[in-house]
Amino acid sequence: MTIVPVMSLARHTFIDALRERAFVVLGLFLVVILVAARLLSPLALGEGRRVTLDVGLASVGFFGFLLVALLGTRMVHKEIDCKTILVLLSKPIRRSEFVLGKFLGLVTVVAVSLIAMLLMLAGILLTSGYEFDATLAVAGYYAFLELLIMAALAMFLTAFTSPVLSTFFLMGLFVAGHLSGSLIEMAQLLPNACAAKMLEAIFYVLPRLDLYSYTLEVVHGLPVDGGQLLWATSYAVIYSVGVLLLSVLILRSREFS
Amino acid sequence: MRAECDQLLILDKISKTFTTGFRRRKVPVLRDVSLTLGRGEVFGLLGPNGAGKTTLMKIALGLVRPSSGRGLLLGGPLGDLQARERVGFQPEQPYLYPGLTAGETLDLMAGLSRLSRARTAARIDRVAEQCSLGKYLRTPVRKLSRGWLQRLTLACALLSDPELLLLDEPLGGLDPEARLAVKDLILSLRAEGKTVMVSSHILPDVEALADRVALLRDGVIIASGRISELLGSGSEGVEVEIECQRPIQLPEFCTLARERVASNRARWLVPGDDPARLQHVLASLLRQGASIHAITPQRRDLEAFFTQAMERARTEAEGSAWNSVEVAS
Amino acid sequence: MKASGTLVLALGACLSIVLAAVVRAEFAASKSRVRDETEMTLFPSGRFLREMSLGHRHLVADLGWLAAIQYYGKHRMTDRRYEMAPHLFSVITEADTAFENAYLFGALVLAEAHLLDDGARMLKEGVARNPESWFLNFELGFYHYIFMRRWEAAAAAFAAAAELPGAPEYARRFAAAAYEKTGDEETARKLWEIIATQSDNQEIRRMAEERLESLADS
Ligand SMILES: Nc1ncnc2c1ncn2[C@@H]1O[C@H](COP(=O)(O)OP(=O)(O)OP(=O)(O)O)[C@@H](O)[C@H]1O
Ligand SMILES: [Mg+2]
Repeated sequence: MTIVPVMSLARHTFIDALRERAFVVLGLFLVVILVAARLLSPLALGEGRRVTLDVGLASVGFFGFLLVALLGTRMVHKEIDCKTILVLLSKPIRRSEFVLGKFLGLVTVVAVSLIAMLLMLAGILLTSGYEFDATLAVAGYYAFLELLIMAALAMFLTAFTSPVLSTFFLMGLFVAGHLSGSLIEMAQLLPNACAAKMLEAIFYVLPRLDLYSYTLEVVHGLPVDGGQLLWATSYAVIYSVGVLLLSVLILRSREFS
Repeated sequence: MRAECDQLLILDKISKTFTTGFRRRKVPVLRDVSLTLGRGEVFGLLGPNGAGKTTLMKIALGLVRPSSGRGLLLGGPLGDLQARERVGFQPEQPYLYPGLTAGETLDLMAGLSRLSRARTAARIDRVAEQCSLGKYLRTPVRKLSRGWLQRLTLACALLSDPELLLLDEPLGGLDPEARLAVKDLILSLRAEGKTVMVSSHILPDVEALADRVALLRDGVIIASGRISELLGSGSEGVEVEIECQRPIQLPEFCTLARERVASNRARWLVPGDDPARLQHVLASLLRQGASIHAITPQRRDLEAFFTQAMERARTEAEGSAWNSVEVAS
Repeated sequence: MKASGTLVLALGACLSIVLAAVVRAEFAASKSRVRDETEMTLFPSGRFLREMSLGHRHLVADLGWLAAIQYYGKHRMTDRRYEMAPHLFSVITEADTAFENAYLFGALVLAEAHLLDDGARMLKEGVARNPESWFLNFELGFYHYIFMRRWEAAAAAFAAAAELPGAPEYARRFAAAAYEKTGDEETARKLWEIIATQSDNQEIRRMAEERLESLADS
């Protein structure tokens, strides 16, 4: 693994993605949603701050996900379908470097758009006179960690399915990831111990995205827990590394013709 | 381990069968292809559409794995990482990132080839000049025309100053002027000591460029060697175009070209390159009152050679198919 | 070289997934410490949910029901304390005022938590909102009878249930039995007589006559 080709690929992936039209449309969409939250909040019977934060953070997370789903699956697949990968892999670059470069490029796109979205949200809160504190930044960081996992999964899926299928699968994983917390708890209540164990095993492999929701903490301005921050980061990083290793494994066994 | 040998690419009995679709249908694409590429030569890989030229190049680069057979690329296994540092590949279609400019694309390629920053700048200047891309460096790839894209992919292949170039139809989609420029470029690369493999189905182009050629048909090499050896003495005879008012008698060895230029014009082929014989025919023509419009020596070219070779291969294939049917019944 | 690389990758992938599961447990624990209790108090009020659900209030109630079942399951297996239960069940029943099982289950959970009065209040609320429901009346009687041992209240509720459309026969029997407990033999006898003359079931008629005889003896 060498750093130069990886960074070069990441940088140019980022530049290429920024010029994608899909990206601009997503940005517009977010503005519409946030403005809607701003307009709705007076109707929320004194719960305006809460509604703005709920809707705002939810749409930040969801648009981040859409970004990963659309850009991520399209990106890698475009490589294989449109055969840019032929040019890349004829250069002295390993498949692992290819995966990492693409992933980092995608993650940079995600990070930049998350920052932009959070700034917009903060602007809306400020102009509405609702208070917020550093927990909002932590919420943004958690959203980023969640999308890190999703980006790794996007790389993984596109390594072997079509973009439409992988977008579908990714949506499935997104939903399952958000439900997995509740489903694990339910599984423990199942009368059939064997079925319960099996369900649990499945959900141990699925990511637990529900843990990355931070709306509650922001709404109530709960203190930031440093230990939890560390666990959250390690989980996202380790899980993504595992998924990326699998993607490399798949990509190495593939032919490109 | 890595012997500095003069064989930059060695393919030994390479076969490839693709498996496609849900039915796992087997598609044989290459069969027992062997060839070697010596340092400093231009090698022409010829063959009709679907013959397997592109697949062969991809196998050399490790993008496709051979089903059987072995090979060495610059002394390493096919598609070896270190070997790829010294190879430039121009794919058949200009696959690039539409969002990047030509300059950024080259910058990306430099990064992938692990060039240092200073060298990147120098190399980009150099290949931009070689491919006359200078004024397009700031143009987004999606706005480049097909021909310029083609030149950009060539520039990408040349960027790391590789020893071995695999160019898949480098002249496709280019206007006559650009074709000439690219041909000149390939010849100047040979002069610099680079080794080039060019695939094409446009034979005159290859004839002008290549030292050696191989002809692929349905994944099998049906002829290969130096052009001069393949074509022999090179002369088919002399063609004489005449105008005459009445039928003409000529010695038996002369043949009348089938198509007529005009109602009272005809072309005769005088085979062989015996000057005395030609003189005799010309005298006879003048005697019979024909006026001579043109005398053209007929060089035997690759096109003629390969048409014959393909024809031969086809009849052989049909013959063997016939045989096998007989054996089966 | 290639094969060993594949092995390393595969091992690395497996290792990371396992490690991730371990780290995840820590993360989940730290998260649930913050969340669990806060989350339930944050469960918005039933009326708010009802207004916000835009016509899908049954859906809201169903979701609340699932949350309640989980909450119960979790605490049943751990500390057997159900502090948030009154709030949770009031949310569900406010979102869907006719959700009979929610009133009953809520009351039972509260009884388990020794919050007997709260449980009775919950059922009474159900009866007040659904006066036509024999089921809620009956369960209110049952609750009084079994958990609180208040025979009068139980007997009244059973009797009310027995008069409502759709009420099964045994409601009247429960009422009669409860009246015997209170010492109001007069009412008990009247009820047994109705059963003895009207029941479709011979066995039950016989049993009712036995009860009448034993009441006459005393
Ligand atoms: N992935 C694949 N699966 C199945 N068949 C394939 C695959 N790739 C190539 N082929 C088949 O292999 C044959 C050779 O293809 P190839 O692209 O190498 O031909 P070519 O000589 O480059 O042709 P052209 O002159 O049109 O570029 C074709 O018949 C093609 O259909
Ligand atoms: Mg081709």
